[in-house]
Amino acid sequence: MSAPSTDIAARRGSPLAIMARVVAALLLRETRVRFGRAQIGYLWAIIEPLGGVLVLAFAFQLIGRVPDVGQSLLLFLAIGMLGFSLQRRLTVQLGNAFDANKALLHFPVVKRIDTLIARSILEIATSLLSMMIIIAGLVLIEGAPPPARLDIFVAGIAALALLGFGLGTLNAILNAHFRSWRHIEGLISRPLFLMSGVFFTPVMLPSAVSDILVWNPVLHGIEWLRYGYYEGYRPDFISAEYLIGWGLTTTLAGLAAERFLPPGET
Amino acid sequence: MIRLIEVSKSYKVGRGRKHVLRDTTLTFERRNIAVIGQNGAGKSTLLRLIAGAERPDRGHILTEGRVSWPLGFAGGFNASTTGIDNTRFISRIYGQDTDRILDFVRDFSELGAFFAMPVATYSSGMRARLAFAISMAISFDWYLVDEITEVGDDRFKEKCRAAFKEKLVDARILMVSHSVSTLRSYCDMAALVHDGTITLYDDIEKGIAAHKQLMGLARSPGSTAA
Repeated sequence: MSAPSTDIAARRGSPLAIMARVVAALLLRETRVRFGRAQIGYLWAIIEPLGGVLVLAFAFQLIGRVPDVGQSLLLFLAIGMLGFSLQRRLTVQLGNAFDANKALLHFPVVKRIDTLIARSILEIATSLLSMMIIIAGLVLIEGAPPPARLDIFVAGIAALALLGFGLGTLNAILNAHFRSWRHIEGLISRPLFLMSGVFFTPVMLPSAVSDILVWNPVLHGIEWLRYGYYEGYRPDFISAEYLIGWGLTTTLAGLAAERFLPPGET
Repeated sequence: MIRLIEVSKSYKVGRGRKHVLRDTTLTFERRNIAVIGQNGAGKSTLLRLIAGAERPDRGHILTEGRVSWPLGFAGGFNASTTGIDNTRFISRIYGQDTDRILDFVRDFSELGAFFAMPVATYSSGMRARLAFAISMAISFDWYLVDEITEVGDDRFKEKCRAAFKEKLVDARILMVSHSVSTLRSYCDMAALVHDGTITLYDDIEKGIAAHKQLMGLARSPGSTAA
């Protein structure tokens, strides 16, 4: 392809077309690097949350606990775990996006935002597939009920994904600008798993505890999923506005910082 | 044509700030241009700004045509994936026909079986050969060359030079090099970067002379600039 200089503009494409091209290339590359060449790698990523569910279920069986909602302990835990890991994986994976793609960011057509978008698509797709397979499995094998209000359930997933994207973008920016952020983030996020209602509903807790946990947006997301999933389950304090507010605020702050701060150490 | 419009760029050096460009407005015509200046004057930063790899603090940079990434760097490859995968990736982000690029790079780089091996297993010479082959496979209107090191034996070097000269029939070059003879063989005009300003010299020899004069001043007692 020797280049007649007249069709230069056409060959370069619009900024949006370039972005789509770069995101697609990043997506293909990430999939390959992360999951390896064998499809089994991807299968593992899909099955992974199931491991956590089984461990929790086993522990609950030992102490003879029954699910707070519904009949199936596995389903109750799976919804919590899948909702949590969707948000958490986005936060972690986006947080590492600039670092992991450092070499590729050398190419000027690759922008930092492209790496965030590519990773988000990959994480959300993996999580959705994981959800569908695990929930379908429980419905078929355990005779668990299907989601009662699919639209509300899906909206809950979207809200959790928005929060994951916002927190992940902020995480990436903070990692790029503050060396110690990685450690601080690790410290803050460690108790998050225990505080997000993965294996409990806040109504079962003493109000002194639930009054504090109610500030955690992830808890709202997981309860939102249960509200959509279980017929007749109506948690009285969840607020869609609160979770979406968190998602929008972190997303806007993250994107503004990405756009207006200098690239930092990345 | 590349236009800089009221462009300012500075970065932190220790406690102070180093100004590479101060409110600079100028136009690079479609010529082969040697970018010269003392160490640390900001030659590489200028190339990275034009490439779009860095944003100016203020102002705009307009480029006409497709501008390469700054060639001659060692990075840019994902070491855990193969030469093939890296070539595919670069070809995709530049919207090229991947199969055609792969054929060209496989042939030009002479990596043989290593082309299908992770880049981590390459010697630095092999990496440079891969990088050069990829940059020759994609057609750019401007090649930004930052201190390209020649690699391989004499025959390979000659092949690289021939490939580059062929590209320069249609494309133009902005080149940073410590080797004055390399600059002379590729470029016919000069851009001297000094103290936040860029001075254009229609005749490369005049630019080199001005640069030498500055270096002479910088070497006056008390200064250690190379």
